[in-house]
Amino acid sequence: MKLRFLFVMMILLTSVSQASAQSQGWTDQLYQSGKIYVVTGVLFLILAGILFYLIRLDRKVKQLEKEMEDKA
Amino acid sequence: MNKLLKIGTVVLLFYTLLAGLLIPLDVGLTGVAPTQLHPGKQKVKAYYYMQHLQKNMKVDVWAFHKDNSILCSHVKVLDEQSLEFQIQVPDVFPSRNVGLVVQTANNRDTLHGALYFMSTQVGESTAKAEAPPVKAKLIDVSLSFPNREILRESIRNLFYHVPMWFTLILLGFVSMVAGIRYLRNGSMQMDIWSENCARVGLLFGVLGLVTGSLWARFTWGQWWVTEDLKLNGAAFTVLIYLAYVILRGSIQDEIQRARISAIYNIFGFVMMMVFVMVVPRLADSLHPGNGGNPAFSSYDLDSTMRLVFYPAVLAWMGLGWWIVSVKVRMSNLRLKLLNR
Repeated sequence: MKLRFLFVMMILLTSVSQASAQSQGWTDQLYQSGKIYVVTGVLFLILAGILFYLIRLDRKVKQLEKEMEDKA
Repeated sequence: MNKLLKIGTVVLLFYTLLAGLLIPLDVGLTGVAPTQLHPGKQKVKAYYYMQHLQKNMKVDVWAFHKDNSILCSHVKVLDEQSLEFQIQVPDVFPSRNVGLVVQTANNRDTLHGALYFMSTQVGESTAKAEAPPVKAKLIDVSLSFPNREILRESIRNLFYHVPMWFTLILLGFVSMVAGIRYLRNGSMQMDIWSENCARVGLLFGVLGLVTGSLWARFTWGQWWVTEDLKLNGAAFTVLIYLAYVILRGSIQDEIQRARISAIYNIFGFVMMMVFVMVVPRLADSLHPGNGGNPAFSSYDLDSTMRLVFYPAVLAWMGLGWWIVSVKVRMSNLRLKLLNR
């Protein structure tokens, strides 16, 4: 499960980095557009971080529920 | 009470996202072309962001350095966002780096270091004919965020990046208080609160670091500015709480774990305050309000920004608190299970 997640992330990251390498000057585009995409990026990071945390929390609760069932 | 907190958090988060993203930016000059000029008559174009120029609008343009200014002629509005003017680049001027002031009917905007006089000699100016542009602030009644050079739209990150650190400080403080209370009365409940606050604080610290890094890349030009004390202090703070989590994991005995980590926690919080609030003031930092000894007012937060910033801080703090309370409930369940 964890391995598969890592694998998907790696593919995603490499494809993103390739795409950015192809379109030269993606940074320039960010500068010209009034830098609104920096805000998008920041919000994306926050959401991703909180979701990641939520998924981990979810797993822990599931484990706890399982332990409860085993004990009962 | 708890319910009220959750509803408030949701409402404030929605408000933060909507107001923070939808309120428009002020009018602002973004650039000129060409930027490098030789002595003589030159035609230059200037570009606006969020401006609505009209063909018959009266527009005045000055190139300036401190008290010396050159009034530009033949100002022509090209379209809503751009205009063209002619500048007589002098042979002698006090500086080669020259700023630009554009005054329209509704707005006066400055772009520092907009132009560079290529082969102009640096010296006493002969061109002092026009009165230098005064920094008169036109009364701004519109609901808009300031359009600052370098920042532009990314000024909105104030509502998403900065509250991460405020939340970390709040959770760190609660964690410390809970730790102290544990040391006083030995209640395991306090230890649980202390631990979970620190863990969730760590999440917000990491989010603060990565969002700050992204923001820095497109404003200061680097993912990480190594000589900036505030950045390194922030990274250090996150490491402190990471060490706290590792410390807890490394001690088997419950009571010993709670005690040692509570004591470490007190030091951790003090170190965080030192590294985030005190040390950055000793040297210049790229962050506002650092270097020197600023009062709170010197953050010069715009009034529209305040309107969103304070609710944003409350919203993110509320979210942090919410996550902590869920985790505490979970820890309590586990404790119950163990004792059964």
